Amino acid sequence: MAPDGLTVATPVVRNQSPPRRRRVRLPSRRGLALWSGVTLLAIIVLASVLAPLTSPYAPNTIALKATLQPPSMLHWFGTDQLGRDVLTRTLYGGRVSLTIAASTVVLAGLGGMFIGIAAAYLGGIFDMAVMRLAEVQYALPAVILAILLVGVFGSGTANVVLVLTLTNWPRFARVIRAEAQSLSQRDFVLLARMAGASRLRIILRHIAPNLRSTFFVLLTLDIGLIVTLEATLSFLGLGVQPPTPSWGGMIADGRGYLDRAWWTAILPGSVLMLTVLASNLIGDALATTAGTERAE
Amino acid sequence: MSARIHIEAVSKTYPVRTSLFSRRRELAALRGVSLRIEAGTTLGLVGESGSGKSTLARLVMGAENADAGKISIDGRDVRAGLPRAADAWLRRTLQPVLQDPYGALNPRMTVAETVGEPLHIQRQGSRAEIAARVRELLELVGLSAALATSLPVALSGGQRQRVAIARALSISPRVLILDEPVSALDMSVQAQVINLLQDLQDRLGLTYLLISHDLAVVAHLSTHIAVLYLGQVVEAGDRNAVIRTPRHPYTRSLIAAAEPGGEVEAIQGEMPSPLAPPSGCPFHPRCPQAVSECRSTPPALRRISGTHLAACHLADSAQETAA
Repeated sequence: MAPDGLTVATPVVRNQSPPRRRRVRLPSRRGLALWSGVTLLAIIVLASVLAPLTSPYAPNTIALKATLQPPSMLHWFGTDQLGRDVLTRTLYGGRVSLTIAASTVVLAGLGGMFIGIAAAYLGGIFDMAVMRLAEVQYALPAVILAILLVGVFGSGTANVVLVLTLTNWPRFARVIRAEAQSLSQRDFVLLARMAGASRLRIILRHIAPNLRSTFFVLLTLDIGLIVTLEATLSFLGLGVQPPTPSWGGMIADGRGYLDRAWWTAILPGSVLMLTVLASNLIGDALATTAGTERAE
Repeated sequence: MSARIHIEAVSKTYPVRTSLFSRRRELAALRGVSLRIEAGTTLGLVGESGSGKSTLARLVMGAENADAGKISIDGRDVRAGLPRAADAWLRRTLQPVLQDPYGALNPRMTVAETVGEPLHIQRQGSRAEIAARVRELLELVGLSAALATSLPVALSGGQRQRVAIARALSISPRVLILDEPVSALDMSVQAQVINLLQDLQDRLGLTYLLISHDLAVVAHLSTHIAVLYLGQVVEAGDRNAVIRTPRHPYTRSLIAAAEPGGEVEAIQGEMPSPLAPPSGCPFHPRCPQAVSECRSTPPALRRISGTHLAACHLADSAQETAA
């Protein structure tokens, strides 16, 4: 029989090896999610951007002799009820949807970040007012608010960006505010104050740089959400107006032909879904990285 | 010799709410604390957590303002929100070093940026001059110049604390507020940082306010010691007087507890909540020698001999017990 020390030591050694192996595997799994997300998004973005060069069809050319053709070598995604190439329209729709999503995310992100930092740092009435407004917006479903705002501003690409920005800034503002508040309690902010740093310097040099990873996580996660919201608005006819192709609009058009020509709605819908998936994969991977960074 | 730091009858209370629906109560963190730190000396402030040590540090560094009393350095006011010129003077005169070397450094700033920041803020020199000064400072605290471009992530706790000290020294302050400067460090690193602090004081003639719960550290670095209990000074004097002939039973138990192999006279119970301080002497519920007078009358801080002060009704008879 081994002495006590050894019998204790053996299970400890055995217990140690699986976590060690998992520790090696985790980053690679996270890396896999990140890179598959990046690859997927890159393919969709590149294909959309290059569509005018690569596609043999124009997105709005009607070919009444070739309506509702199933996917083939000629029309990879088939054709719709007006004989337009679904792949071409999907890619052109991607240009519109992704442009809207990117501009919205940047506008809502920067605006929300600015408001969040200001609320955290100024506090008082400004903080109260802004955060109550954010909470009211949270209580309303985003789509309903967006529909209301489209009613006020009218539809069209620029207005869709405006409406989506107005509905999405609170998510950024709230998270950034909470994070900025906890940062401003850190010792290095006190030390900066004790060195005579101005508020502006503290915000620019000590708070904002430490919000960077949170900001990018929110940004990527939000892209998927905004693509969906934009598609919802276009589906309801409140977003991008026909004949300009958009994913939401194509799904709406194809809905009536689901029994005869599933590709008209399902294929643009799949691309939409893959875009959201890619955005979430990237966002989650970045969130995990940011989390470990913070824990360290 | 001019007295560098004057702390006169300083009190600070914080409003606290223990739960959402309970009444707001007053937490008296400091109750009429008066201390004096002479130029070039070190006052060690000892006490348990909750005794008000860190509150006093925040007041002396001008991060917060006292409710009553006055703090001054060389006769000039110390408080938060001073006019621009007076504030700049204060910042150049006094710098803090805090306990947690992990929180003290901005994770996004390099060592050189952190160390040079006070110089940039106070516009002390050109970019090149500041860079040269940063190299000098890193050498002064015993860090390799190669670390200048590192981020805090790459540094150990001891290295981080050296960076924090180098930063505090960058604008050549005359006073350092050391709030538990070594308690977050490993034993071996503690000794290095303590020696560094002592060496810097000798070379630069700095005045230290050293706050620690570790009596051994305080005894090693300080020329004077003050013992804080529930927001009040219960004993103060020069180091040898306080360590060798402690007059307050609380100081005696702290010293007994710090002595390796010494007979440990454990302090009974915990420090009472500062939300409900006991009547009479704040230490009486835990004092082995308490008499009825202790329960009713708070003892005044009395002169025992020279600069040695103690707040205990039994301070005179206590001497016999100690001897």
